[in-house]
Amino acid sequence: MQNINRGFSVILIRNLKRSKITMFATGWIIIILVLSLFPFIFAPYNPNTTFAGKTNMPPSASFIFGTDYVGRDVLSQIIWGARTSFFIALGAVIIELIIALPIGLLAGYFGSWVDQLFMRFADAILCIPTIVLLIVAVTLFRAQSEISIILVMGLVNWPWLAKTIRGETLRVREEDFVIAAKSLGFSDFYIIRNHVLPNIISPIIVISTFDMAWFILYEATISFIGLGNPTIPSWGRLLYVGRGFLATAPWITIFPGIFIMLTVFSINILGDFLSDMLALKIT
Amino acid sequence: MLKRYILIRLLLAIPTLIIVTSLIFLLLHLAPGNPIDVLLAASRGSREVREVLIRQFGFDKPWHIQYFLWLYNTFTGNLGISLHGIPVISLITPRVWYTLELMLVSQFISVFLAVTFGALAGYKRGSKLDKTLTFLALLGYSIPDFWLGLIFILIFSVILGWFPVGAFSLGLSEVIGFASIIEHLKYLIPPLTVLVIACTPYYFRLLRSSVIGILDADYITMAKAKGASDFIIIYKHTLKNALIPLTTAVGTSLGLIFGGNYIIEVVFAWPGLGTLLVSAALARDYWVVMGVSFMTVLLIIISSIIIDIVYAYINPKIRFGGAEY
Repeated sequence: MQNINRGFSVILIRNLKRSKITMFATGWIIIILVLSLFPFIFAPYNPNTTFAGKTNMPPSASFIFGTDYVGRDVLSQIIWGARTSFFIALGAVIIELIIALPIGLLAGYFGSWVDQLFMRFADAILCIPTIVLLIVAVTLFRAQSEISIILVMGLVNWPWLAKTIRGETLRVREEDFVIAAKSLGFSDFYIIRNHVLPNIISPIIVISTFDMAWFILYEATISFIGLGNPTIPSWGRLLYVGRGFLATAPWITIFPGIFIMLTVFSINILGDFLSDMLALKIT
Repeated sequence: MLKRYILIRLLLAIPTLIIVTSLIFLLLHLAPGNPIDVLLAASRGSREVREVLIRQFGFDKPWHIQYFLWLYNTFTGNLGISLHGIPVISLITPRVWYTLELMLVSQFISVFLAVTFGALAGYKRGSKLDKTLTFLALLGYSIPDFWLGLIFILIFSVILGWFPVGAFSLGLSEVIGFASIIEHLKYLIPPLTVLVIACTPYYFRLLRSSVIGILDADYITMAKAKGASDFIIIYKHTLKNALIPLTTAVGTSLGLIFGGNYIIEVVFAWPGLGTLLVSAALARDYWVVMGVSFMTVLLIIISSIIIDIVYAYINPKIRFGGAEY
């Protein structure tokens, strides 16, 4: 087992080095991860400190990305915002997995009416434009807290994941080892846990990676409409603030957007890379 | 056969509409507070006024009664009254056209661009052209569309002054008239451009990979052997089959397409359903939120029926009837 693992990581690193874009993406994600883990080390100022008389300052030596309309440092807000984005995206992926995993597994494994019931429900959810549900839920819960944004995003997005898990389970269910386990009289729970789950884990990892990128975009969108938490620095909040000063202080808008773009781009590249490595076909 | 199919699909849409609207209604009611209080907080109305208003809007009844009343009224064509006393239906109808205009034109252009370049990139897989296009698509795929909108406003409206800047605010008041087509285009082009840039990469990636999958098929080899030109192979033999997954993709991502459209409407203050939804949600205008959600789901269902019909024409394997529904 040890040897196989080492073999895989060697191949992984060798392939990683082959593509410049993948190298860049990995580097960028590592930077953002480090920033989000230790923002207090890297941020030059407290992101919520307002510098009197220094509102809407253009980028300069002391404020590299400028300041916003109440005199907060944009760079510090971006660095702390990385933490918010990752925290929310990761949370939403976890919520999504908690819902989608049992539903997808059960629907795929048992088929017939269980499958019909769950999948028709999933279809109904998919019919709602996500943004409508998000707007309604976030506004009305006067949420403006990260937890409710996480919950809503997870609750709205699970059907996509559940459908993939169901499809993969259907495929594994027909494999010889599952049929053998069934005929040996193992319980369904045992078979799902020990035979089905390990065989569908790689597509789940890949899709969760792509979903991280989605959730980062969603979070920015929600904050941008003005439904985010106004007390917590986030990339979306900066865009929301910057919008009103597009003509006078465009740096508030430009820099966080570039960070969002590069992060989402890198996650997508890594997702593509992962799915190639795991030799998957995901459309 | 087709009429029967459309009828059955419309009937099947009713439970979906009920599930979705009841879900949204439930969410509205789980929220603490009362919309009348939000309204009165601004005007400091008296206690009596509050009582009258609550009764008038039907907020005194239990929530399930409210929902069934709303449902009954909706199916008779009455979507209720907004907090400002305007019938919801008259708020929504003019906006539907603006939303549809923006969406249909942008989707049409996006599919056209994606088909042209996706087929080319797939056919010349591994070439410099393919690599550039794929990279651009991935980049476009990662840009937040509303940010792109802001940058567009910054460059073309603020700095260059080509397009009106008045479209900054979230305000709903400015409904743009059709007075002159050029004036109309000035407002249409910015959101349209952004939507096309946001949608095309998605379709492009799909089309490219399905073209690559098809190029190995026997009939393509056959066509090549017969000496057909590249142009004929791509745009006649390959494309017809590659369009099938694209149609499916458009069909399953209608929710996302509408969502993206709504956000862009908000950025450019385009007087469509999206701007109405956001402002109504912020003001807690229950019946307007319900009305817009209902209309959106209805539009999605109708679009998906149309897409299914198109799908059946492209793909001869599928015909209406039998076990399809």
